[in-house]
Amino acid sequence: MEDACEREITQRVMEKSIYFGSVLGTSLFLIWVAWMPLLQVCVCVCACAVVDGHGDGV
Amino acid sequence: MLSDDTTTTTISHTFAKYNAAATIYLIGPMSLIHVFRVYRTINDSSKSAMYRKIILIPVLLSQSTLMVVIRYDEVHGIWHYLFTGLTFVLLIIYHNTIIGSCPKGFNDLIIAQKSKLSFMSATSMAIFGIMQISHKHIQKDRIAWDSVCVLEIIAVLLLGSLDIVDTYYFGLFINSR
Repeated sequence: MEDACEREITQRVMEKSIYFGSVLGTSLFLIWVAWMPLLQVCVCVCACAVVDGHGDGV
Repeated sequence: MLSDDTTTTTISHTFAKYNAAATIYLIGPMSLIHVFRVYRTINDSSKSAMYRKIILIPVLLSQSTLMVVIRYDEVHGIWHYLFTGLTFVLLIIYHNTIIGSCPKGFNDLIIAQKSKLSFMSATSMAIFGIMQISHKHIQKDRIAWDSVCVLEIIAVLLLGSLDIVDTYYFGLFINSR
């Protein structure tokens, strides 16, 4: 029972890490691609919209 | 070579001119996105184990071909075009086959959104490629040159937005449990 609970926690922590890693990775990549300041602002807004309210359920 | 009187340039030219900086900077974000794609592929419960293994091949290949694309300072000409096209196609294949972990009932919505974004991205990239090949001295025509550069950026941004769609639904999935 304890093992199952520990596995579940590990799984959720890993999911959360991958979620925030992907937000960070995609944002950094798109900010580099979008050389125009306006596009960079759009990328930041999109990344904030994705993060806002999601992925915090561990 | 790129003319000196314009600051507008393609992504490939940036790789050639600032290769060390581009490699150092991009290796981090690309690795994070790659880990995410591999995770999504392995954990796509809507697909069979064999199907996931098959799709994992293009995902892994796309990272290798991307490394070749970044080395535009050394790998030029037809090989650069070939590996750029290959990277693009492999990622489109991945995005249109893998749904990954998402809340129940969202599968059709994800497929619809991804197919639209993929179509727009592929169209932009196709126009960019055709204009680059068909106009030998496109860099001398300022308007045409700026247009193709913007098209390339739009194509890559749309490709990146497919990962944003994935990430968004993955966040919903985490919260829905």
